[in-house]
Amino acid sequence: MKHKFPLTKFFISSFYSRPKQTMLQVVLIIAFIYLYIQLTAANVAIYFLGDIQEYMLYNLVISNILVFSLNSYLSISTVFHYHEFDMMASLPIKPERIVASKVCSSLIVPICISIVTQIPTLLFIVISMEFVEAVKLLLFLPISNLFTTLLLLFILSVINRFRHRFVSNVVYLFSNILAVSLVMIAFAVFIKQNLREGMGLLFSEIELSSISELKGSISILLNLMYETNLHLPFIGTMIREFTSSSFSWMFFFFIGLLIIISSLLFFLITKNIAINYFINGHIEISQTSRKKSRMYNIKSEWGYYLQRELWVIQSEAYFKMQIVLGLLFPPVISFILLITIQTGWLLLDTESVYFEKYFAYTLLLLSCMNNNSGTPYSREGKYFYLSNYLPFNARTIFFSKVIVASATSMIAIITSFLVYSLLGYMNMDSFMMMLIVLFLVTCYNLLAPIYDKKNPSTEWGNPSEAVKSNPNVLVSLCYGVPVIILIVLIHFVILLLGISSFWSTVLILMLSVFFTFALIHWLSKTLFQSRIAS
Amino acid sequence: MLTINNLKKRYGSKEVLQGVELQIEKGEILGFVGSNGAGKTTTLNSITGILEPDEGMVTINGISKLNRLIYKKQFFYIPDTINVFKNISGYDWIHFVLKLYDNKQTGKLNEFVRNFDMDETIHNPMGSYSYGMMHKMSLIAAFTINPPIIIMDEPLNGLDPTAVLMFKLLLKAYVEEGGTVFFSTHLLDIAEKICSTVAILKDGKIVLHEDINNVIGERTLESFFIEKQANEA
Repeated sequence: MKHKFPLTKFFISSFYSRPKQTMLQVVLIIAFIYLYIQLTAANVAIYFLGDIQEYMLYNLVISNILVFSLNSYLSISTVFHYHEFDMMASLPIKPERIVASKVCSSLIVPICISIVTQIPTLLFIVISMEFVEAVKLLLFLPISNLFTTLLLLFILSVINRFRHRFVSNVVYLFSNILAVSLVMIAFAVFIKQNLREGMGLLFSEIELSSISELKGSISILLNLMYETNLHLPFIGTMIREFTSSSFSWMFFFFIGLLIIISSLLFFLITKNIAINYFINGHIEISQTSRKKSRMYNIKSEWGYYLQRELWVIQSEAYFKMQIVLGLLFPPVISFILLITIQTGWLLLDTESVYFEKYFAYTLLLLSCMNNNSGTPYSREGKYFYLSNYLPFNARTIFFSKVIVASATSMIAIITSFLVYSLLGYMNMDSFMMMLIVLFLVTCYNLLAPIYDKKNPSTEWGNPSEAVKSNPNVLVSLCYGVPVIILIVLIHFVILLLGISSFWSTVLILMLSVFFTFALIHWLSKTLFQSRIAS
Repeated sequence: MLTINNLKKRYGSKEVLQGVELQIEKGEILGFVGSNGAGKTTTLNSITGILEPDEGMVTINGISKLNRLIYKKQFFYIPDTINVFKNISGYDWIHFVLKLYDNKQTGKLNEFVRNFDMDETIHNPMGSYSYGMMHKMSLIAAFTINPPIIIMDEPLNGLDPTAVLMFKLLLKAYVEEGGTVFFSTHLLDIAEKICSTVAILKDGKIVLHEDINNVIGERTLESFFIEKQANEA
């Protein structure tokens, strides 16, 4: 083994393993290429619409958002998970070394992804013969990405340090999500406070009625972003040095400063996690093996099957957290969205017939974007095989999974509409829109588990592999969401044809009801036909 | 060699270990037996550093857990369930572990790999290994490292008959060279054939630690164990 850092290599290959199924590999490659093309297309547009300084700032922002998002999404199942604990705890190795390797492995991949997405940017800058900017981009971007990632990991590592003091794993996981959300909110508030004037000007100048006006508006947006960013305390100076066309001592000072702060953060992260490595590791390992679920004496067959679903969810704190997230995410986002509209931060015409449709369908998309609907069979893990050799009714299992996913989505949607009505927007049309969303989300939950039923990923060691890192989520979204979007498009086409808002909503409601029952009938007849015949 | 003094551990209101006392000498193969829930795994976890006991002390060759790394280099632990980095080959993993133990004597590694019939699989990712293969890989690592003491939790689980035979031969050679073995098991017939001493743990306390020949006499270890459990109850 010639590798210099074997433990880091072990963690990288363990954290980011390729899915075994060829189809999933293909889907992942397509998804990656699609995202890459999308990012590059936006990049090309910005290159031609803005000047080189604006272009560099845009890339700096995008790359940092990318690494922040990737780490927010992955770090709980990589750096802050203890799947190696059983194996490493008895070996003569310092926890600091294990933790340092884990942190390194979680840094390398997101930063590499960010750098790969920046290759077209670098090419454009080199083609423009802006060599100073190219060197600056090469130097500054990875270091700023490193700093962003380490800052996030540091905040999460402080929570992890006190992992053993949390009453339950769910509370701990929620604290992590809350911390990430607070970082994002704090940043948004900081930007808002410093860009208030710019935002007002931006909204007054934007025109979207023709392609040339759209281009002009994007140019104004980029320019405003750049100009107002320059006025941000400290960050403004750093951006000015980064985007200027010459090298200065100040630029190297900022690079040095970021490296020093990053090193300090790395040291503190390692200390924070390593200090209670054994206590926290043991708690996490033993928690999954000491789960407690109640057995209710229910006579109905459905009740019995639903109870089984409940056991699967209760088997891992991570699954419980995903369900709670599915319940909270749409109402919280709805609340934030409506409040930003009411305070005038987001300028939307609430009197328009489209407003309630936009709100309802946004809610529908938010409810579909969960990790639960598309992974109910994978979540069963080692228990999955029980349903194969015990006399379970496969049809009832499938529909009880649909009921659990739909119930979660429905509660979230009804709560969101409650928020909507409390803020004074509810009317008859909105009520019907709520019914449409409830039926459509049920349709999605009927479609989503089909792929997972046929190709469950049950061989997971870490519950996040069954849910969040499970490519089946992506596959279910790929075929489930377009079907739902088709109905949404029909709704807007009907409206554009001049049919009144009320009757178009009635029509779509009827279509949604029909589609839901047709789907249930079709699934009952086709999906389980071979099993019934056998 | 290995000394356990007044080891106590409590989970909530339940005192799992109630003052375990045990001393294992060099060259001893100790069969550590007990009913389910007696506290065997908690004892093993406390010895290996996976778990911090509430009270008591464990030393190996006079080295306590305060010198964590030196202490851990005194033993190699083979747990019952071996969690692995599934994409790493067994060969890479063993090399990594050997480095941790500052062991540069890799000469016997290939011989052990052949003995356990792992020539074709040792370079494959460990995720593709069966339960038995994982145990074989861990045994290869243990015998190659050759630490002062090998601690094992049900090491024979999943092993094929040839591997069990090989294990017995290598264990014998290891002990003859001065090694010590702490062997937790439910397989009393195997323990009877392999172990030189036996320790019985009941309700978090050691109720017997004797030479195996003194314990069983005309009986089997299984009948002695059942009799002892009934008497203690």
